[in-house]
Amino acid sequence: MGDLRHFCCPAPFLGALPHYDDVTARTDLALVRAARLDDEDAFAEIVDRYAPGMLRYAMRMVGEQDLAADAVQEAFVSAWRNLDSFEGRSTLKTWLYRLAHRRVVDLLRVRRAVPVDDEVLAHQGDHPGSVTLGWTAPSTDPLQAVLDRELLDALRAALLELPEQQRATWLLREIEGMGYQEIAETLGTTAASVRGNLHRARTTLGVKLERWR
Amino acid sequence: MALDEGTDLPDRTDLPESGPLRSAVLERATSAMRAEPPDRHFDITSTVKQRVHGLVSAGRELVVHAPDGAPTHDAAGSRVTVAERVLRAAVRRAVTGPDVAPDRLRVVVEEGTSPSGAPTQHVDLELDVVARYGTDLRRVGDELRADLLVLLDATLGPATRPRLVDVAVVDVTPDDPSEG
Repeated sequence: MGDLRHFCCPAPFLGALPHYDDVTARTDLALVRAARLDDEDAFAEIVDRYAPGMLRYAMRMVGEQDLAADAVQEAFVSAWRNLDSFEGRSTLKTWLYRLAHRRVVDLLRVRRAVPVDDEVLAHQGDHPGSVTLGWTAPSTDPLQAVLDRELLDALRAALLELPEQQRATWLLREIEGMGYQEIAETLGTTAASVRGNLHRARTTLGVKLERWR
Repeated sequence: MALDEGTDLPDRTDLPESGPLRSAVLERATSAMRAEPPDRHFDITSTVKQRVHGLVSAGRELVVHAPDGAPTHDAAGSRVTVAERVLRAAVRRAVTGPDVAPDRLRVVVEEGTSPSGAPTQHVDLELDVVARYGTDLRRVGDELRADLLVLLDATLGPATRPRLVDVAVVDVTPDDPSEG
C-alpha cells in the first residue's frame, strides 16, 4: 500500500477524508467491516480479542492442546474466508464460537472410536489429576494450591465425561459467561434445550465432585 | 464474574438452594476454572495471524492505463498492473473517516478487446458504507463518489469510458462508524 500512496492518494482526497489506522478501541462490527476490505490489522485485533477464550473452550471440550489449537485455527481461517457472510444478526463472539464449536464436534466425532469415558476413567483410577491440560490454579497458599489443582483436575475429568452438548453448554455458560440465547445460537439449538442441558450438566458435575466435600 | 449480564432468562432459579446442584465444591471448582490464567506457552494468536496472512489473496490483476487511456505503455505492448488488493486497501483507507466507514466493496472488472485486438479492461466500484447518524447522506455519497473516481484515475489511469462508482449507505451508527 505504502509504495502506491504517491500516486493513488492525491492531497485533496486525503484532506477530505482523514485516515483512521488505530484499531485499539474499535467495536467488533467496526473491525469486521475493516477486515472485509482485507484489513489484516483489524482481523488481528479480532484474533487477539477472541482466540484465547475460544482456545480455552476448545481445550476443555477436547482435552488436548494440539487438537484444540487446530480447531481454533480452522475456525479463524473459516471466519476470514466468510467475513462477507457475517451480517451481524448474532454477535461476533457467538459467530466465532459457533465456528470453533463445529470443528470441535468434528474432532470429537473422529476421535469417538476411542471412547473418552474409558480413557478418563482409566486415568482417574491411578491419579485423580492425570487429565492435566497444563494450567496451574492460582493460589498463594501451597496446600491450597495443591487442593485447587486437584479439584480443577477432577472438574476437567468430570467435564470430559459429560455428553458433548452438556459439556459445551456448561462451559459456554459458566466459563465463557454467555447468555442462554447466545449459547443456543452457538450450538445451533434452542434456549429451552440450553436450560435443560445446563441443569443436567450441573447435576452430574455436582454429584461427581461430591467426594471433594 | 457477572455471568447473568445480558441474559434474557433468569439463571439458576430452577436450582435448589442446597444439595449437589448448589454444591459449594462445584462452585469453588468453577470459580477456579474461571480464574485460570491463559497458558502463555501456548499462544496460538501469532500462528492464526500468519495463516490468515497467507490467505490474503492479491486478487485480480488490474491494468494501469497509459495517459492516453491505452492498456499498453509503449510500442512493444508493455503493461503495468496493480493487484486488486492494492485498490481495495486504497479505498478502505480513503473512505474510513469520522462520519463514514466502508462496509463492503465490490470491484467490478469488465474484460474486453480493443478494435486493434488488444485486451482491454474497465473497472467500476460498488461500495456499501456505514455513516454516522445525522450526517448528510447525499453529500457523503456525492463526495465519496467524486473522491473514488479521483482515486481510480490515480491508481489505474484514465478510462476509455466513464467509470461507475455506486455508493450505498447501508446503515447508520450513533457514533464514529469506523470505531463503533
